[in-house]
Amino acid sequence: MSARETALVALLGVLATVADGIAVRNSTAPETVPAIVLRDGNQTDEEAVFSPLMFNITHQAEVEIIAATEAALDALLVAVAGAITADRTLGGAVSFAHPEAPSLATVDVEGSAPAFAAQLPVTLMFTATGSPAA
Amino acid sequence: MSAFDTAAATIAADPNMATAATFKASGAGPGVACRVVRSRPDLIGQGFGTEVILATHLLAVRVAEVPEVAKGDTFTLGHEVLVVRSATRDVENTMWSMEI
Repeated sequence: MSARETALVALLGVLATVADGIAVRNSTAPETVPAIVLRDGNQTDEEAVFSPLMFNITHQAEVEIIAATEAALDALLVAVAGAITADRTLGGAVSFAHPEAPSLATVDVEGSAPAFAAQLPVTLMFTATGSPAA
Repeated sequence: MSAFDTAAATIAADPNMATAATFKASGAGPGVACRVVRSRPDLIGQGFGTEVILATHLLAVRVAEVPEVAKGDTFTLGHEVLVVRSATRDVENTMWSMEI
């Protein structure tokens, strides 16, 4: 398993400790409210280290959270950020995990009370050997 | 009476399509008897990349029965009191469509 996949699986494991384990990864099906969805995201930085060859990778995953009220959304954001910062190595899978400031939006369809969504970037720093793809 | 008025009146009179309700402006006053069409489908909304299922609640009433509807007005259906969140009329000015 690649260092990236190890990090994402560990992050999903941490998210699963929040809100009765509703967290899922890369879901494309409609979820029920409240929802926590981990999106794999992209690598944002890499630094090569020689002798021995390895790469310090910075990867940004996105955690999307949707709740029925602003207060419920905030509680989930606090819970998710708290679960990550409680162990920033995610059980040893990464060297550092850091929740960033969330983007906020409302979800609305005609005839429905609005739901509230947040997109929380989570920066994951880890080391890959061989190549950044591995 | 236009064909649309006739159609709306037929729908409102149908016991399967519509139910009896009492309209009260701002939730007060004597109330106006009317017949409303209720629609409560679950729809899918999107927040960032995530789709979620949201319960919706719409009411429709004939403009001929209730000429003016505004936010905060209520419809009483049996023991249920439904408060209007927004109201819009259709192109023919025949029916009010209301978010509850």
